[in-house]
Amino acid sequence: MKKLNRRNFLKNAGLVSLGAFAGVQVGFGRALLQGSGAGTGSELLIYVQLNGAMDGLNLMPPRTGVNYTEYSNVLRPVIHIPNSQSLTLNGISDFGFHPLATGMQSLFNANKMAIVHATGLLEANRSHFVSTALMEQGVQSTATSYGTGWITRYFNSSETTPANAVIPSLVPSYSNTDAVLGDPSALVMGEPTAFSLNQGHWAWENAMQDTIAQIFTNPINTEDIVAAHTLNASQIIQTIFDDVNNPYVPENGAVYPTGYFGEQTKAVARLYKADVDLEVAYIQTGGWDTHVNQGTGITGAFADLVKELSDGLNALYLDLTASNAGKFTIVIQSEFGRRAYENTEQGTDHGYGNPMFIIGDNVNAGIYGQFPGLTPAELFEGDDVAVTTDYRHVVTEVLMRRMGNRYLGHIFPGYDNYSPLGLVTGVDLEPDYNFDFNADLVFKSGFE
Amino acid sequence: MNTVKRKYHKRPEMNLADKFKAPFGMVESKKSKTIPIALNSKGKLLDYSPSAIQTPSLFHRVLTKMGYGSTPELISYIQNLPGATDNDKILSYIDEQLNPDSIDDSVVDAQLTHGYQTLNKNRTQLFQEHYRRPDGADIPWDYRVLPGFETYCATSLRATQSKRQLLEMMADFWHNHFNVYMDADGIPPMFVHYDRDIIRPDALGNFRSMLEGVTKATCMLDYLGNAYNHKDAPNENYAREILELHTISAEHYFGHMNPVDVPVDAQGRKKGYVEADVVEMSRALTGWSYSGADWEANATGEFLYRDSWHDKGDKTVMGNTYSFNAATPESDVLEILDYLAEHPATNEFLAKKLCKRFISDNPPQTIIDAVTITLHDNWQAANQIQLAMETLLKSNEFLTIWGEKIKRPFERVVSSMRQIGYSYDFDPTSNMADDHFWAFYNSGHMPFYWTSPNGYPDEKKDWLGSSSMMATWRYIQMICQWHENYDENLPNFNNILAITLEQFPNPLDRTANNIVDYWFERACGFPPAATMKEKLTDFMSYTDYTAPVVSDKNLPINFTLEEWPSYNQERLFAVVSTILLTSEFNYR
Repeated sequence: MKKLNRRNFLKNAGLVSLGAFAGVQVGFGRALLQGSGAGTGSELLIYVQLNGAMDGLNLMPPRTGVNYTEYSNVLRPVIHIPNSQSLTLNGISDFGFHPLATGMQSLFNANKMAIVHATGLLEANRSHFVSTALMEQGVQSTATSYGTGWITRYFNSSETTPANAVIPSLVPSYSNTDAVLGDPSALVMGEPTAFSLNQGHWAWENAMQDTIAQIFTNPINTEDIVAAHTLNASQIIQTIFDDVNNPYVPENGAVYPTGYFGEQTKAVARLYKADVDLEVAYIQTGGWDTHVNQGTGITGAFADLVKELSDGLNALYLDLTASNAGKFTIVIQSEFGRRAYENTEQGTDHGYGNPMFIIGDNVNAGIYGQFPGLTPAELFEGDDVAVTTDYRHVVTEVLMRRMGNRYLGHIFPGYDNYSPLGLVTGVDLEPDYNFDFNADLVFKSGFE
Repeated sequence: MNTVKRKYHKRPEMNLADKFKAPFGMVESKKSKTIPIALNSKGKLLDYSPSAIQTPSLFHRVLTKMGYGSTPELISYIQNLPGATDNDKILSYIDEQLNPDSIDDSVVDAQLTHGYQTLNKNRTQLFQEHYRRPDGADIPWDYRVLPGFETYCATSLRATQSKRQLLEMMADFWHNHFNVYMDADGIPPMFVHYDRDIIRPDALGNFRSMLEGVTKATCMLDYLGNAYNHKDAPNENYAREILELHTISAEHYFGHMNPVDVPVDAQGRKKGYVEADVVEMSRALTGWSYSGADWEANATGEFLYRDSWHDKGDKTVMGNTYSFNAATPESDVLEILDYLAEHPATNEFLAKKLCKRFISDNPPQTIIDAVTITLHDNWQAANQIQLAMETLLKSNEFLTIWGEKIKRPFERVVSSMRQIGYSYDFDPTSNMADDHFWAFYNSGHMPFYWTSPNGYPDEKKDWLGSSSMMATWRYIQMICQWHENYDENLPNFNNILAITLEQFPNPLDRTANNIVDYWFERACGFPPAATMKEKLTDFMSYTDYTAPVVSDKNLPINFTLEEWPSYNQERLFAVVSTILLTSEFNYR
């Protein structure tokens, strides 16, 4: 059977341009059209979005010099992480990690992590809602929305995604993200075990499921097509996530932390290893909006979040690298950082610049970018860590070198200065900064 | 902060009675099969078109688009209304629905006294008992969120059983127009006030009145943070949403243009707003707060104008200058709200949203224009929205267009409940209130749970997705199974069996063919197509679950017999729930 062109599939399904905030919109693998397929295990990008503005200054605190003095004496006399407690990083003296970020420390010290200081949007915006939407939609202004997310446009311009990919895009979450806005092939799935029809009386459960499947056979309208895809995707998910007959054993002795982030990361690894052509996973994890009683040292809400994040990332790396070494990259980001000054309620308010973390076997480990400094004159508007690196430089380098997508102007409209920092190994193709690139060129080979 | 992330709640395990679990050793292995989907010779999906959708009767159409779905009782009620033709009768029904106070809803009103304890508390009581106690004592979390939880229960009950169906649809519409995320901090304690005193009184009333109520409501003041809007650092959040989402609309946003350059209409009104207008609007709204926002003692949660926080300079919004008047300190804002409520852009925006909600994702311009004119001509009338809805509901467009919308998950589940005579009373103290709550939550369409200020999306394409569809299907299957208290010795909430027996008093008529015909037409408004009927009657005719084979579809089925291996009652429930999963049932 001839393979289905992804773009035509989207067009035919009538679902190309979803409205803004299709928060419950989910999809299915495009090649479910052709029955369950066996993927080849493509390179995987795992994007971790820390919702609520993660406090980068306490995850990665200064340890020396004037930055440490300002940080511990002036900015955060109560909640700073003392350099007697912060974890040390190989070859790095001026910054360390939060004492509970042991998993991240071991990744860095094993040369599996790159860090970029002080990243963010070009223009400061202290609204979670706006900043998150801007990043997820890959734009710099709310006035320019395309009704699609950056991951949607990544796939729409991808020359490497197999046309018959089964589940190329996963959002392991109950709620959708604008990053996959407009892509019905993104599977948004809060809990795999609940993604099935199993609510019937036991005696008639099978007959009922058979009848339902028959009803949606040969669908003649959009509603029936989506229903058929849903049932098909459900069969695939239930086969993969069958804890009775096919229990999941993480490799390398990886131990996922309890809590939802552990479940999300484990689900990504499990699905990827099932060879369903998973190519992008977008993990959203919340709770980082620590305005009040954020805690210090190894106690408090922030410490708990750091431990879960760090342990989860470490487990995910160990689990994946065992049999898929060099075939995945993890990027961690938050919509913005927190105010450099602690507030009167032992928390921190909304800030600006924040570190990003890149994990994988192909990273050039180390710390990149310019830390702008913490003295009053150096702080952005006197309050926040300034931004010295456009976060898109980090993302586009991974897209270009690891994912092989050069259509940067389509994915991030208006972006026109590809500037790799050398975070990961890979080939730099000729960047295309056009939003309306010639789609025929993209698809002329191998798709029709 | 001006918005909140949706909170993560671990999905609890649903309680299932033992009856729903197979006896030991009887679990059959799950079959894995894929549904073939027709492709044309080029490997593409076959063409399909909405013309494949059958159109149900006028009564069914109106009941499904104007409310939460038809029932045979309502259809026969309408048949007995005055009027020579079906059209006359349905217009009589629409008139009734436009006047909800004239409709006796005592059954639902009585149920709203069972287990509810916050629905009659006034604003101060809600604040001092659920939000912040005057003595500073802690409020247990369950008690803090109780007003919000009871509003969800009451909303579900009313949608399912109230005779004031249009009122319920309108309340839902305005809740989404003035959306507040109910799981955000500070929202649930005051949500009874927001629903009961702000949204519902003007759901068929006056937009300007609701707009002012919303602006002064504790929930909105908290949600978009205007309660803390101080002249020293004006907060643009609510100011921006008033212009963008509540009145003029993003369609008439001119960005960073110089305000003097914004084009004007024939009456000299600015056609839209710019960034500078947002800033001026936010200045005007400084000091509009509530008692408690500044942590004062004995706070009440009532609206509070804070004179020392208010910017008393002139504000120029959309070309007009508004001056502060110490004798009437709220007048600058109130005059701006007047201007916005009268503005044609606002009325067109509201008309378009209403037509989209009730008629089609792409409503004809003719009906948008007609509703716009009614809204605008009557913008100061106490029954402005009622008049506009009369224009809309009595239009040819509303009465004839079908299938251009689908039910969103809440609507789909509620209309299923209505079909099967679901008797659960949504008593917030009942131990099944939580399971219903979580089932709606997982469907992605829990009332009042949209996090952003723009409200739940309202187009077909927004809701055609796997996760939401699967969760909605599961919910429908559950309500066709659940017994009171999960106890199989207690009655089912569904009345599928009783309805079937009543429909076919002669046991000889209780055949697979008759039952499928009846339930499909009851739910969808027209008889099943041949293939559909064949699949459903095949299932209904099985007599042994261990060996499901088609038997004579004209043989009566004995529903007093509920035993191994036929389980006739459970099979009936399964067939009916399957009908409720079809696309045919999901059209509006």
